[in-house]
Amino acid sequence: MGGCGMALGAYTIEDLWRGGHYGLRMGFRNDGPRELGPFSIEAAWYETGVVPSSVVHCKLCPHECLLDENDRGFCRTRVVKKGKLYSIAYGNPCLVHIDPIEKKPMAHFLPGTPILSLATAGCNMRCLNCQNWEISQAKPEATESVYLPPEKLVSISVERGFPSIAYTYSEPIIFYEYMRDTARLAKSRNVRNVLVTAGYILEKPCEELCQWIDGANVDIKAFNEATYKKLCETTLKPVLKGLEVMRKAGVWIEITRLIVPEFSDDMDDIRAMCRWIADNLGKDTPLHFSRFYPTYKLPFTPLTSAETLIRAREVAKGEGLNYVYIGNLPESQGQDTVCPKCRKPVIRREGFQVLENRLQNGQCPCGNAIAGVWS
Amino acid sequence: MRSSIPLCVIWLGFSAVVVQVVLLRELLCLFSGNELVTGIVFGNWLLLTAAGSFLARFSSSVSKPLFWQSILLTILSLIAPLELCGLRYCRLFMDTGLVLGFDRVFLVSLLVLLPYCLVSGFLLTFFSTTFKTSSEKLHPVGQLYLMDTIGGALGGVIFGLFFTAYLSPFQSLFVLASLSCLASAMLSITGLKSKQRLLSLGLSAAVLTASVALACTGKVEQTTLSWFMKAQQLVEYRHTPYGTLSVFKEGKQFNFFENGIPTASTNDLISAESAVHFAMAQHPAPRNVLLVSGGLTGAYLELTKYPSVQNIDYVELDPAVIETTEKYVGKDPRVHAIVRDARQFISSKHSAYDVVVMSLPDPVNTQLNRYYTQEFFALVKNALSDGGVFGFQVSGAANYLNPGDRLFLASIRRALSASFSHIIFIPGSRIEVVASSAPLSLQIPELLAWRGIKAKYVNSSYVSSLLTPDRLSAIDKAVMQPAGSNTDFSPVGVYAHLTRWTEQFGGGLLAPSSLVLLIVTCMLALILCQPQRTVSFALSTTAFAGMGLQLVLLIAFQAYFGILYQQVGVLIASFLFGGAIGTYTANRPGARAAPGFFSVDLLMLVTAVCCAGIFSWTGFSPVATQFGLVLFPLLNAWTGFLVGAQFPLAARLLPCLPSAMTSTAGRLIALDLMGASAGAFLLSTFFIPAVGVIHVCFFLAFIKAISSLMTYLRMRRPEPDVMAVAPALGIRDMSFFVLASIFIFEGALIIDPGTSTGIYAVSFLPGYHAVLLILVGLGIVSAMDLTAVNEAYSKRFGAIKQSAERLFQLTGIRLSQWIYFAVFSVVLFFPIFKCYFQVPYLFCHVCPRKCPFGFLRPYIIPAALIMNLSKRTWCFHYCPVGTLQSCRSRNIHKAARIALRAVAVLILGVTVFSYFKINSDVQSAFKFNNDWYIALFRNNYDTSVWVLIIAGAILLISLFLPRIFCHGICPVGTFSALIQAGEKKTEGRLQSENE
Repeated sequence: MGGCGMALGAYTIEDLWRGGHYGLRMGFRNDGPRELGPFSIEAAWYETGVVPSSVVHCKLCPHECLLDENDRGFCRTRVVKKGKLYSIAYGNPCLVHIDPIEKKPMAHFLPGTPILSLATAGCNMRCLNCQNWEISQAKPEATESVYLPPEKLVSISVERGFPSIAYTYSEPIIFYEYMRDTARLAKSRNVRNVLVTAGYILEKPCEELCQWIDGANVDIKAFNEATYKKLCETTLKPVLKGLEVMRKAGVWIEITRLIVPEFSDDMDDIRAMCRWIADNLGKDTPLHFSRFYPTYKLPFTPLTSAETLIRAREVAKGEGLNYVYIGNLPESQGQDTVCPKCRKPVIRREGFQVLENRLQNGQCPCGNAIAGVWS
Repeated sequence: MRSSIPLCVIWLGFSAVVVQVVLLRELLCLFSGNELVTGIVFGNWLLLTAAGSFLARFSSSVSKPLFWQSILLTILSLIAPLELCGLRYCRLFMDTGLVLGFDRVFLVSLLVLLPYCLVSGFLLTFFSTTFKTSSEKLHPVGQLYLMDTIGGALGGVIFGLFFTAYLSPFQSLFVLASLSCLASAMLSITGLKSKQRLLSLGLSAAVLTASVALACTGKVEQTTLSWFMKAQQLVEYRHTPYGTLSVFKEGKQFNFFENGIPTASTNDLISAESAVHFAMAQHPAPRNVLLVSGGLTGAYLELTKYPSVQNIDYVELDPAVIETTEKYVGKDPRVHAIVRDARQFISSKHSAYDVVVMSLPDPVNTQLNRYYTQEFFALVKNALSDGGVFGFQVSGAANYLNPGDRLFLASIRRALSASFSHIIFIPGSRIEVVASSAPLSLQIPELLAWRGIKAKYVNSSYVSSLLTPDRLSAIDKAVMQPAGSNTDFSPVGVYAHLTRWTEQFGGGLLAPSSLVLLIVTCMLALILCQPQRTVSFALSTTAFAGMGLQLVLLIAFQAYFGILYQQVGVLIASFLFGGAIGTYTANRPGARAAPGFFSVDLLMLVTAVCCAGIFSWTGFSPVATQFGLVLFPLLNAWTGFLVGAQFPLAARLLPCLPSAMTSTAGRLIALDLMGASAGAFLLSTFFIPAVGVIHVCFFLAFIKAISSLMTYLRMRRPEPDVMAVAPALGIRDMSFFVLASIFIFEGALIIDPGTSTGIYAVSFLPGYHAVLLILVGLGIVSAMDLTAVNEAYSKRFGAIKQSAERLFQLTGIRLSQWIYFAVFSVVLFFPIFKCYFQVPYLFCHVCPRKCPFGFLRPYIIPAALIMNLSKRTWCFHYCPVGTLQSCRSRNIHKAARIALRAVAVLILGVTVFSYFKINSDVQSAFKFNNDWYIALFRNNYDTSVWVLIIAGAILLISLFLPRIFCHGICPVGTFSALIQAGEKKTEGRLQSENE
């Protein structure tokens, strides 16, 4: 009995409740790589000693992982070694492609130009419908990657004449340090920076990043917490907060909403989202509705019907949004930029190609200014 | 009564087969129907039935067997429809369209199949208590098996001919249920007396009325199907011999599901266009075109855009798909729909087509893989005219190709390059493959524009973003990597696809392989604890090889002849009927058991070698067309004959007292089913995809060679006395193997990078720790041996105490030991598999990152020492290591014991020294890098090969030297033993003083 009491006494009730010293918190316990590789750099946003029972408190994204020695963050790219947090994929992207900017999708940002797009492995979301799960749900050291430090990346885009760089594919927030240094350098050499993200980031890092970012395409997966939880294992609130921060900093924002049947195809939900966008980001914010194709852990969900997408566009227009696009649906005329005043197409597109651009100095021939980054 | 019980056994076999097919189909709808899933579900089915028959050994003492048999028969008829309901109900909990990982597939299928399989397996063996043979010379167990096999064979045939054609799944089950009730009623009328008869008849009548009523309304089917999609409307549902076909509607779009998997949607322009145009663009003027499947996407409407096309042959296996296509997609006069297996159809054509477009699912199983093999591509080449083009799609990746994808693509390319000189791969989330003997161009949008074909997706606006130099070079690199060619007999494609599937869920093939380990261990344990190990081994390996040969013959048959569903049915039926004939022949009164048993074993070996010979003989395939249609069913029937024949012979060879009939029957049936289960799981999911059909035949031959040799040696020995058979290795060995396999399994979980973090996190769950502490507390209480507590315990929980004693008699291990092993083993074994130090367990208080053991050490070790104060309770009643070791405890030589004790005292000294030394070091200044133990610090949380080797060695040695760890190493044990020795001495002295 004594031993039992002793054991229980030493083991406080709170510890029992919270899983003791090393409970089930965010992140991968004891999963760090053998040694820090050459692509490691001390992480930017973290604190030590705040929570007494943990070594490191990551302050980059709203997961706010509490990590101990040799733990790996939820995003798989942050590791604690000797009491410090390291980002382990610095200058080491596993994907570098040149895409048309329409593929990001960005409709009001230098249309018709190529964009240098890159990503490292890892992600702070767990979307069931991830298109890039091969890299987003992998560890950086497990993918085939190239060495591409910020200087080299920027000089490539300057030499080969790419007007902008996109941080995309997986989730750029998780290679924050790499993106920050590249973006800073690119800005100084007149190359634009485009962030393609799910926007799951804390306020302060977002504020810092916005100094160098010119455009952002932010995914809103749904407009209710339940779907966010079910589909992505994250929450909606920080995404909206991040969008407000970006808006305040003057970043050009476009929104993407992928419509997954049975998950995020509710029209009331879409209406609520459009209302929020119109109220908080402005009616000129472009909104892209995207068609779902069966992927990753949702191979048995059928693709979104054209009717749903068209209905969603009508809902968005009804809420006063001026520029609403439909992606992944070749048969629709959903990709043209239509002047809200004269109702004529200003930029005609097919697929990822611009067929005709009648824009002059950011204005429709009818004289109405079209919001966007045009030059 | 005499004739009603055999009839009931036949009925049981019949209904088990039908229920199996119905539920298997439904499970494959619920999960993705790949080879691994099929293997898991089928393996689970057999395993659970085996468990049921094994458990029936406890039924021999039931007082009114006939009454309970009739009741169970009625209950069984109720379980099947309920399970089907449950399966469909699962969808409500699952997120729509979500694919499940290995662990979920295993658990869900295990839980859902559990009731039916356990009860049906139990009932089969239970019937042996009342089963009477017509002649004294017939062995009852063999006769029981014969009836079951006959029932199974009839069930297979009647299901294929009647049930699939006319009845929906629920109707099939309700028809079965009503007939089961009649069988149960027959049993109770012929064999039961007034009160019991009334009760049993009443129950059957109630169930009968309910199932007839439900079968007639058809409402159950509709309601349960509507759970499939929450927001979409079910428009049509068809049940065909090839599976189910359902159509859902969303807006104006129709979504088509075949066997629960969405195969196509209307308005899916991207799929339709890319299926057709990438290949069609390559041919200057295609006239005759063959479309293999893919009508539902509307692909043939795209084909009709080409003015040069005169004739489109559209091949589809299932006529229902063609009807649905014509109804929802549309018709065209140029399209000729052909209902036939595509492979068979293509093999009959020569230089007939300019373009062949194929639109089939990925090669997730060997059936589909037949359309992606070297042999099939050669047939396509033969069916194409000069310069003809062949196009198809496989799954790819939007941006980055995984190792699994690369292996898959490379094996496809190898297979294609044997027939086609020009191959292009177009990157994307669906990868388009185009092959031809003429040169191909990547300027596809330009080619289409030049030909005047207007496509909305396959044009420069979309496709040029796929055909960028960086993306093309990435896919080129992937397909050129070394890989084995995907062939019929070596389905690398299936293997690559399974790798890809497991990559989605992490953990690799670890979970499946640990399951295999578990099945094989259980099987070995069951064999080893039998009195006649050779017979048991031979029987289960025959079932294993029989299942293997059946799979191999099915694959080969499909490869040679194309898939003909009815004929595959014939093949399976021939196996079952062969089995029935085999059992009948071998159970005749005159048959001599031992030589017969040996010759069956030898013939199995010969059959396996013959199969390998046939398949590796390249000249066979032309011969096959004439002989094969007769040869394959005959070979299959022959295999079935051998499997069936061995069972009754084994029953005769085993010492069988009339009183132990049930346990013999249960044991034999369990062995038979376990072997088949291992075969279904291991061979279909690993061996055949990984090493190919021919090697599998040789592997089976090798296993049978071992068992034949053992059987031969056994035959040469004099017949053992029936009464005096005592196993050399007893029931305790079974426990040892089970515990050791758990140990290895946990180790694999901890070491594997895919699961290590998961199990690490789970080991820190608060609930888990609470359970640990409660158990520690209970252990201390019981160690204090308070008489009052003990009395209260036995008064309150007498029943538990009794069954605990039963368990101890059965397994040689106490209930407390089982519980503590299950709960504590993860904690205690953790440092063996992963530790920061070269020497595990020793340096926990300076460890930078504690594992569960390091964290709980300050509580567990003192608690263990306290428990040990009274009669070493911890060591003998609770310690998992002690449990593992005590399975095989026997007397030990005194000299060895003294030597071991010396080592142990030394280790204890080192442990105590280092404990206090480190403690004082930690309390003094922090100087981590200069500490004396730094040489043993690995600075890396990883597995040490040396520790693993030592652990393995200890495990092996403990097979021969009992409690080697406890006596020779464990500091806790040594400390307690020393104290105990001291106590004894003091007691002895006190006693002598008293005297």
